[in-house]
Amino acid sequence: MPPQAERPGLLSRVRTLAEQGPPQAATSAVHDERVVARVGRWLGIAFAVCFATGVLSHLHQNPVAWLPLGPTPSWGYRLTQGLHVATGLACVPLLLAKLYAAYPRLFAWPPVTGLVNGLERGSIGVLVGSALFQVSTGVMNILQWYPWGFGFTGVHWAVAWVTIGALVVHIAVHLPAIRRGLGTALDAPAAVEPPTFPAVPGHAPPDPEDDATAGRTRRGFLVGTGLAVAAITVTTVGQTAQPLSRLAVLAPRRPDLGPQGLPVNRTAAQAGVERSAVDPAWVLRLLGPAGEQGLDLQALQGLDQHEAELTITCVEGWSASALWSGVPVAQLVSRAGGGRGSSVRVTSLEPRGAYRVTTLPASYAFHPDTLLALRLEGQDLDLDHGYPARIIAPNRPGVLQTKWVTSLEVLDA
Amino acid sequence: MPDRLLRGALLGLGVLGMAVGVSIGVREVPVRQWWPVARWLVGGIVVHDLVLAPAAVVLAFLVLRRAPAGWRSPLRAALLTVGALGLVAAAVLVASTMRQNASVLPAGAPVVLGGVALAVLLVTLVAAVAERPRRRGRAPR
Repeated sequence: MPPQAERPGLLSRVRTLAEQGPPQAATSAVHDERVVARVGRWLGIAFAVCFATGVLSHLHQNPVAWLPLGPTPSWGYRLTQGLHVATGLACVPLLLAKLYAAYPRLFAWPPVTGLVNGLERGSIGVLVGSALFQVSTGVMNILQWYPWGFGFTGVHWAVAWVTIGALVVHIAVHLPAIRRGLGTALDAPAAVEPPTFPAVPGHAPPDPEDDATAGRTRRGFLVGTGLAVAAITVTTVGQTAQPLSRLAVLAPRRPDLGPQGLPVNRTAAQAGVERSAVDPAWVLRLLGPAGEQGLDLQALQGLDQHEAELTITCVEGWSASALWSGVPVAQLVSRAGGGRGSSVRVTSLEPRGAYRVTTLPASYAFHPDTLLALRLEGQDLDLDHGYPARIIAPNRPGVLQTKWVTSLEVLDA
Repeated sequence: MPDRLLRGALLGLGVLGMAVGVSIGVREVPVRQWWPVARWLVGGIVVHDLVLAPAAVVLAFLVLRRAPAGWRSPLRAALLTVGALGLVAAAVLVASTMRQNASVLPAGAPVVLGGVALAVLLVTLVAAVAERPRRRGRAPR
């Protein structure tokens, strides 16, 4: 009986794969710079829009004097944060498609051919790592799932800059290939020869597809990528685009679902205000140049009321409109002795949290629709929506629409 | 703008962007959180090199190579949609077991999985239809 051939060990098979290239199927026409460049263009646009809208959200929450963002247009934050999450989610199939189209390069042997090549591969490592980090942690954040042991907001902001920087470096390094890829038709002969792999002894190399067939393969992949992006968009965007809410099976919110027909981000239980918010002795402390005043709920209800249709918009991408009524903040500022240039420090009953104290800039405080809201859809505020009183203003991030307000302090201009 | 100048400018901007990010991280992220952040950043590269890329090779070898040529594009579309929607659906289902708020993640598992299955089916059908007119136009051998 002839001796049985020894099966190659795992290390030996990995080395053979690296030296001889990926299997036959990986030399598909999809793994071509034309496909990589086209998917890369969509991915680059998605990342750019996601980054820009993220910067806008950061500026809303951390205002700078040289770029004041105010209450108009009232739909502005809703649009930008809807786009932020929609483009972030679109990056899931786009990233998978780009990595799939480009993956044979991972098997290049040797992995590094010199210092410049090493830096280039290192920059791709930074881009891949940071892009996957941003997209995966962003998705988990909108689902309120935090398994990682670091604060999300600050890290997301920092890594966003690293990702966009790595993307720009990637474009700089590969600009000639990008231009070539975008400028060559999908079914034209390749502008450069695709990488060839050494022949495997005993195996015939695969017959290359003709240009027309290869073009159809590439086009089919791009169509498939577009369809995957459409699928993830349709199954999620309904959390902000109400007509699509019934299709949004993967969205973390439905805009009409929650107490009084409105979603809740942070409940009274989570905020630790279940007892303090319903205390019959609750009084709003109003502080300003005219001194300190206390206004209980009955007194607030006795002031001139104003009604407005306003939107709650969360940076997690969901938004919902409702009819709010309450006392215009401008009226309270005037009562406290403030003027048109006065901003307002708003303090919540929450014992802790990054947003328990916020500042309402003057542009918001004097907008006629900025309210200390007491009622929602004609009913007293639900406890989870901020009973007994909350701030609601147009074009303002949801985390700054302070709930369970305990004091308003008018600050001099 | 000459190409070298453009590429140099982009390179400089990109490096600056990354430096801004690192600076923000060093200033705003507490030191005790740096290791979890690094773990997750490196984890992305590990997932790509040891999970995503090998999975692509295996799927191509086991599924696409065996499929009739005319079905490869719809199959790739289906696999990509399964991958993308599947990952998000898995996260939705895991997160829904930990929700502290009834208005978060309102769709149950049957709705989520049914919706994903329907989306994959629709994508496959549309991709197959998109493939057909060009196959009809192919010159006879």
